[in-house]
Amino acid sequence: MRRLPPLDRRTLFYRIATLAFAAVSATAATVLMVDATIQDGVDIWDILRGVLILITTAWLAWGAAQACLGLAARHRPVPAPDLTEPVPPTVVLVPICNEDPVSTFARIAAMDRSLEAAGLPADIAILSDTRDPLNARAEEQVYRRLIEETQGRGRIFYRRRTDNRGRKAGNIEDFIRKSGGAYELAVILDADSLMEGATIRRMVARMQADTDIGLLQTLPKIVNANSFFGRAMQFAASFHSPIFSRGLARMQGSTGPFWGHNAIIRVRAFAESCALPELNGPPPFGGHILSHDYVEAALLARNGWKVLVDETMGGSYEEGPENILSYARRDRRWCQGNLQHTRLLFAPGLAAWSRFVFVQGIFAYIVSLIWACFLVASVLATIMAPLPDYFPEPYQLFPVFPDDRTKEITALFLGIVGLLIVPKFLILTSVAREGRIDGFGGTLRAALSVATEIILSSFLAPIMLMYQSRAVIQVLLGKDGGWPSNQRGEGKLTLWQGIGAGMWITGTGAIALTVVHYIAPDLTLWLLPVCVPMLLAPILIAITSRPLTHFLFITPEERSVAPVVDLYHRIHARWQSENVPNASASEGLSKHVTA
Amino acid sequence: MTIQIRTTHARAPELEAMDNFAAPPSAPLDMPQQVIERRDDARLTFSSLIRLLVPRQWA
Repeated sequence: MRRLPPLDRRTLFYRIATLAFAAVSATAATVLMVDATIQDGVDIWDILRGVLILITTAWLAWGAAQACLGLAARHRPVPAPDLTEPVPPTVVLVPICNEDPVSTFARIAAMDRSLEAAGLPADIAILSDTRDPLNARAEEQVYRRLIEETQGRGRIFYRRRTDNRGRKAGNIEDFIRKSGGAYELAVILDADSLMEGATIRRMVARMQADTDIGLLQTLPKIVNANSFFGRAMQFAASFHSPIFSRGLARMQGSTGPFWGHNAIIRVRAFAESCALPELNGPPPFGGHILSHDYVEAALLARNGWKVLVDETMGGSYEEGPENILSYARRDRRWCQGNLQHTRLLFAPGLAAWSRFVFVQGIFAYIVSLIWACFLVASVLATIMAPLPDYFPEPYQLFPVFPDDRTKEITALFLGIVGLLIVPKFLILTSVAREGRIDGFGGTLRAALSVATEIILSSFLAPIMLMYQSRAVIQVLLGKDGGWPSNQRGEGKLTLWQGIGAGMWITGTGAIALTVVHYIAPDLTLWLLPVCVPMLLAPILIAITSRPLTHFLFITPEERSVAPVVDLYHRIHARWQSENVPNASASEGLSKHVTA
Repeated sequence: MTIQIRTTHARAPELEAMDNFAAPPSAPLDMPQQVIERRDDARLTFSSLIRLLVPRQWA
């Protein structure tokens, strides 16, 4: 039986140091909070607030420590071995479901040409789970155009399932069961993924050089964002994510992540490790495993295959949500998938780190609800606090005033804010020091972009908190969110759409602020940073879905468009001008049947 | 697999059946279903806690 290499000391040190930083920060925050709240005696609210601030601060400090670890570790691209003959048979898998076929297949055409330029022979298989017959017919028409464009007969395949069992994971599993024997390696993409042929070649060479690697994940950069929200995410993914990912890569050793796409797998390893069963019981906790990628990474590691992430490998791209609603819709699915992992925490044979990754994924969502509980507990504690007793002793001559703990609370507030924003400014200095700042528009623009991203995320944080809390509550109440199709492309929202989607947040914020103002006016000022964005939710949802300015959030990928991205744009524009899928082809299709 | 059936429409182009060129190669590979749940998984026992905290290599 295969076994993962033993944990090396450096990785163990990184894990312990990061956990220790989180524990110390959380303890310090709890001490400050408890010290400030027990001045009028200890009650249940003080204990509750202490526990909640311990958990939330530990989570924030964990993220900050990850960034610091990424900053401390040097940027060292993994030496790329060269591809040797015979080249392992490789297939690029593109699972799709109700996507725009022109965009998706134009990406495939661009990647096919890029693979050819890189000198890597590879097949491409489009795995459709599209159910709508009209969409399916359009896919077939554009597929014919793709074959014509690329001369891809015998290399580029298309098959459509009528039984969508297992959704995306089931789609890939179906391919491996029927055709996996023909390939040694498979690159797994999403419909919006784009990868340079040279990058895929490097991945294949790395898999060829180290036959213990079961999965190699790249860090995809977001491209083609247009809205203010989308471009802020695109900037964060390009500016901050590599550092966070570097920190993550140092901690996880051989038990790395799988993010579901822009990764390469060893087909045999995947086949012997990753056939996922349905969980007992109905959704949301039972049924198909939604966040299958985390589970597949854990199962590969369980079978002794290395799962690695290489954040230094460029040429890996994806598209992101263009507005808050698309983001929240995707988040709802991820939330349900991650909470479903509570069923797998004690799965037999998993590496300890894999279990810890599940815990992190669960925490990423329940932490919003914990913050909400903390805010509610703080308000209730103030309302229920006893009146100050200035003369606790009988016949006391002079009054005793309670100690003022404003300084401690302010220190706590600043500490929490610091955990959120200090890593981002440290990354700014690091990027400037490494000479990469020009790609982000120079020092001034990059600094302005970082500051604007911080302000934007501060405004959006209470709105995200509400969406995530609602998602967690829905899942806990047993409501299945299903698997809605991704909405890609332009996502400009009107104010009416913003009102429709965000009015419940405005209402909640208005009620909270009114209640606090009348019952505990001292707290009003403290709650404004949370309540004001909630009141403005519809406006923020609508306005951030617009392009606003392109002066900020410049990324290197935007300044110097990658060849495969440029090729995609040109093919896409040409196909659109040719009116693909064209009417003449559809005339020939009176009927199609599936078998 | 999708099969397209030609119409008798005079102007319809001659479309080759998708099966002739679209189907991926047939090369079956076994995928044994994984065991990831046990009946007692929901219960946090002392031994499961130990298993959770101690890395497998050290056990």
